[in-house]
Amino acid sequence: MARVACIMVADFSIAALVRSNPAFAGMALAIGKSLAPHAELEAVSPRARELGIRPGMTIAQARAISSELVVTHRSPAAESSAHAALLDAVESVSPVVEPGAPGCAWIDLAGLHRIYNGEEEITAELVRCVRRVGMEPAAGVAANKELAHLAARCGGVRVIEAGREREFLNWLPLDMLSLGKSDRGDDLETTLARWGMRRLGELARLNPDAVGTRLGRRGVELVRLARGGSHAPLVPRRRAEFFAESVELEYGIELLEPLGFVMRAMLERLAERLSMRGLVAGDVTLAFGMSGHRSFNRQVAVAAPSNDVRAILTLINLSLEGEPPEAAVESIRIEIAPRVPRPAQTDMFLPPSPAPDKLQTTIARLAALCGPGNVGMLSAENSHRPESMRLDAFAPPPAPPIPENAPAKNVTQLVIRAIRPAREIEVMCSREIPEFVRGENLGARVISIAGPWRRDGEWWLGCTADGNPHADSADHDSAPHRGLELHDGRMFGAHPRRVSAENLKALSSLTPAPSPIPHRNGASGHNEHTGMNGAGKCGFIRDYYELALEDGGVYRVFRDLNSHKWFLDGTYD
Amino acid sequence: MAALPQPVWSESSSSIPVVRIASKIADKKPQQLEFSGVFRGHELTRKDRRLSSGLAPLDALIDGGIPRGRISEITGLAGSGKTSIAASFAAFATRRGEVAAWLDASGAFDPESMAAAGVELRRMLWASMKTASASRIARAALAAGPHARHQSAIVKAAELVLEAGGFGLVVVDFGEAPRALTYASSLRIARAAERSGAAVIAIAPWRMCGTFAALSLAASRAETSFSRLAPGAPVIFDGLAVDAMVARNKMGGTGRRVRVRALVDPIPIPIPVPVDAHPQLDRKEFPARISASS
Repeated sequence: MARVACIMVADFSIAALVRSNPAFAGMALAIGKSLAPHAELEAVSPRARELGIRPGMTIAQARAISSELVVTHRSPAAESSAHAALLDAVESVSPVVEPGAPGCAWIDLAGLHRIYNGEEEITAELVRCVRRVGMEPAAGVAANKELAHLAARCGGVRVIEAGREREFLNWLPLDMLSLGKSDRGDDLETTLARWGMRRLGELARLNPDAVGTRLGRRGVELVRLARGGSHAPLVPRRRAEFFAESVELEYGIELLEPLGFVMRAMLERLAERLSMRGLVAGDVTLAFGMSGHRSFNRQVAVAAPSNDVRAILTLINLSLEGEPPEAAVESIRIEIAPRVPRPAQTDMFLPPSPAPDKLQTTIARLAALCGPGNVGMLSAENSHRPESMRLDAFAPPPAPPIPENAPAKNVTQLVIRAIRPAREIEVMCSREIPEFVRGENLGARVISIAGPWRRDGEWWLGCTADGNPHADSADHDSAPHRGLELHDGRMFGAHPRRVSAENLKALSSLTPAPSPIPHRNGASGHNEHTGMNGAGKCGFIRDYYELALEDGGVYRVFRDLNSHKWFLDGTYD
Repeated sequence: MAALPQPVWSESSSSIPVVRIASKIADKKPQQLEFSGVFRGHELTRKDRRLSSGLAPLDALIDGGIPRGRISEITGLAGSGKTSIAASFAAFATRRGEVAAWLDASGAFDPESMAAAGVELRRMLWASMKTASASRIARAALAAGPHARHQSAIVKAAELVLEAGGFGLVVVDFGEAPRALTYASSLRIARAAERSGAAVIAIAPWRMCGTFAALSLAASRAETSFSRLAPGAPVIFDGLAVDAMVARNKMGGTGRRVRVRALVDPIPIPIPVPVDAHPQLDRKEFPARISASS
């Protein structure tokens, strides 16, 4: 036999307001249709009820009873967030949940007896979960949705055991129901009171056809409900794709710090909802409503999903510091994409590595300090340009097993300190051989020289009809002596250490051409690459030198053959 | 006035257990007690708590490597080989799976040559302070003067990285730093390094951290080598011979020095020497000097 639980939050609009602003807790709070003195109150808090304030009073009447009353507007954003939180809370107990009116949800209890010991324990768990999201619910368990709803309306926790539904209905006062009006427009509560009906059981004894004749369809539904005969199926909702919290502010916030206080509370509520579902926070989407009906949207990537509110808030703050909203923020909506938590067990025998959440926070802080584009994993790009680099997000792979007894070396690799962008210098040459170098903080005679090594590329860009540089690049690399050019007894091309043995033989057998040193400005016609280059403006072509100067440094310089200027590219250090 | 009771220093039976416990502790080897944290200072300077460079002569010079949890400086002018030495430490750390960071004040990090040096770039977090906007740097150094702002940014970055924890090595490349760090900045880095346990290398033309550096290696270029692969082949740049001297070492050994070779291509490709090299390739007027020394 089916068993359904209903969770309902009384005075939901008040509960949603208190949830979004905990300062309202315990206060005499009321929601008015407007804030004018003659406006009626829609809902009141338990404290206001204690003071004798009831819904339907005007604000002036309520204030005459108690001066401590706080009257405010309804907050659809807070109610929407609270309802979503309610559904998340009950979904952490049962996967089959049907959302009802705001503040109400039905839960299918089928199969839960394997996890919990009885319906009382299930109900207690449901209530505990809803309390975790900041609301005080009432719960009812019965054979169908309507009965469970009626049981929940009675307040507290009420379990209607199977077979005792008629007993419960016989007791239930009619004023517990919102009867509404009949098809003729008569007030049902007044009509039934005139008939002498006080409890639902008395209504169940009437003939449905006769009641239908007098009260219409609504009357028949009431009799069916009174007999416990309703069996509307439970329609479960789809799993939420994101978790959202919204807040409407009473006044605009211009500074990031107070904005952070508001967002922290929202993130804490979201983290609680996520943790109840066994999920963690992934990427965050911010949507701010600003003054002047403007909006501000921002996506904050969370590389290491977690429910650490402090870390997420730091990421958001750092992102906002880079590009803050242009105007005062009047409403905030935070959406979080849920992620399944990853196992974080580390190996005892591997070197430690930064915790993912701390690492992403650190990278975000560094990006805020150094500027975006200056933090990450720097690597050489697969490009023909020697100075091209690429910056990727830093995500260190898992550590490999530590190699044992790695042989120690006696020599190390010489590293170059790059100068980006290359600094223009002045080089004085004698018969095309650099002899003196002068530039910013530089001025010395050349004492040793290696080169030139010619590097050119990208001449096909803009020159090919099909715009496919890869095809050209493949031909470029497959040439038998690609990269080696000999002019006037001097070799231009790839560095000899990167030349294969076959190419070295080819190099040795080459006969120098009698033509002068070619320049990319089209002076020489014998060079096939120069010829393809046309005017030499389609790509780059450089002659690289390693120069040991009198000042003690060894520098890598190049001469741009398109502009005939010299540049300092780096220092060997 | 009543006399105060005199303390009893007799070797009574009640004091014997204390003496016994003390003697037990004294008999233990320090390695067996390190878990208690009592010998924390000693632990930081243990040889197996050091980060090796993978270079045998250099490791022998500094007793196995640079200490973890401390600042080590590698100083030298441009072209002295200090960056290559720092890269060897980074290569060793990243190859064994540790995560490292390279904080670059001047934007001089060259990924191609670093990868060639064995640095696993996927484990190397790079951050450059070169193009950081003035407002950001000023925010990081509100109280600092105009000359100290770039340094304050890199000190702040070093602190951030060290506070994250889990990094095995943090290289702080000060570039052409105009002056040494202030005591306060050096102390902040030193304390952050001790808390995180990471080895910190400071690269600069001169000593930056003063007394807060546990080790200071002064690098200087001893020799520059150019050569030809074959008769008639073009002159190529081989590399440098670097003299590394221990300018300061809190663990002893100050003044010792060793020569390390830093080559453009430390593992030469076996290329057969062409026997039929064309005589015209050997240009006598080419002004290269073979093995020019500084």
